Amino acid sequence: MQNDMKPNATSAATGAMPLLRAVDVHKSYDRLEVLKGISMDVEQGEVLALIGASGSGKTTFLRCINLLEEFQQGEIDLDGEPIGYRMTGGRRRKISEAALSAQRARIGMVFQSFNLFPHMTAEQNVMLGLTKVRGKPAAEARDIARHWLERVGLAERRGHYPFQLSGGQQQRVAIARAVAMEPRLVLFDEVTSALDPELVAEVLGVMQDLARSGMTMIVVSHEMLFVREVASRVVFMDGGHVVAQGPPQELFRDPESERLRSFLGRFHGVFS
Amino acid sequence: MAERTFWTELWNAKWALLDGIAITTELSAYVVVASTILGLLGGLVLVYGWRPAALLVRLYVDVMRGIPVLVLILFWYYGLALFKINIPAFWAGVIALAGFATAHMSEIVRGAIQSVPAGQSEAAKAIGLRFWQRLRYVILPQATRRVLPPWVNTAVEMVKATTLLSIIGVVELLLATQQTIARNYMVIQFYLAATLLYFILNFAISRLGALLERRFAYMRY
Repeated sequence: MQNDMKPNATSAATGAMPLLRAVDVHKSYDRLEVLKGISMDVEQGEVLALIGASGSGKTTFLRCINLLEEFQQGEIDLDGEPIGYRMTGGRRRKISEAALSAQRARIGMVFQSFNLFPHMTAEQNVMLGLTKVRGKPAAEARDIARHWLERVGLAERRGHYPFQLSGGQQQRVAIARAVAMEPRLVLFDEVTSALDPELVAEVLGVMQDLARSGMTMIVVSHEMLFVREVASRVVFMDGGHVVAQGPPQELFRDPESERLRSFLGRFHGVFS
Repeated sequence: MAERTFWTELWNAKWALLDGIAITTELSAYVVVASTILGLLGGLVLVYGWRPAALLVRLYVDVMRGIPVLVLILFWYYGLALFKINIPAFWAGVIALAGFATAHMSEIVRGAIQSVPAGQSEAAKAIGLRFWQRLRYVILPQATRRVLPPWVNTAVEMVKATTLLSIIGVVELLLATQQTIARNYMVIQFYLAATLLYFILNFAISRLGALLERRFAYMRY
């Protein structure tokens, strides 16, 4: 439909289809419009950081990508396939529950509040999607789960229940649960905001490791040092719009937008 | 003639009382099982159901909760007889009590499901689980733990409510006791005996509930 629109120059330059493309996404809660036409491309292997004040719409947009939030207008494509909606006979319809679940299985998500399943051990948390969604035999799923728990540094904690783990450990299990599914991209929704400061580093370390391994990531974060260090591109949102975007070095050194300048000014000392 | 004591009278009445216990147990089992299954369905419809269906269940729950159980029992037994529909007293009782308990169970299940944090459902969606999978592997195991205490409560209430069926002539434990008393005039002794039997039955259900609660407790501090 609107695929001839080029919201971002990067894919036009390379000619390849972006991994994720959002075109003119609008989202309202009743009368309140929280996304006012968001367009962006995310390339394979990119680490895209979404920054902005609370209420700017960054988390809402992130949740639209795997349709935890519905949106009323626009389109989000994963590998060229529209997520959640299809145009049939000129009308926009939601796709079936089965089709939507299959799409979601290709998108990992890590939440601010971890959301581990409390009645399952760390290992069972990671295994659930592998056995029930990917249809892997239990033994293979267990091997994969153990591999990823080891990768996030929790090999010895695999038999622990979430309530027996610290916040940082729970979040690392949640990351293992998301990436074990081998998703096309992983969404991180303020994943360190609920953690004690001394636990933030261990989670960011795991994310940095993933970024280096070439995982495509979209990260909503207030950790500006992490964003500057790890993100390949930063998108600054304000009032439901994308206000500025670019590589972190350029964007942070010389912000053109007045809004971005005042936003960054609050992270005093980080960018001096 | 031998002396008439409580124990000799109890011995004489043993079959009548055992039959009474059997009927009470049978009634209770039908009512609890039926209302648990229907209540699970009702609760699911209340939370996830198509809107008109959910409204229908909501109406049912509110109406049922507003009517005294005794009135329901009289309706199913005498009320339907007016329209030439005759249901045996036993089954009229089961329908009346199960119908009433279903309303309570539906609310219990609804509350338990809704008390599972929204993040659980979101996390289950995010890994690609479909609706019934989310329910089976993520939501219901957590809801079960919250269902158990009020479920035990309702089950015990229903065992006690079976005594109301003595009014329509179901010879359950209370009526069997009363019939025994009518023969031997040992009022206090036999009512106390019946009380003890009801207590044992209900205590067993409470213990079963406590056992299940431990089984489903995933927070062990």
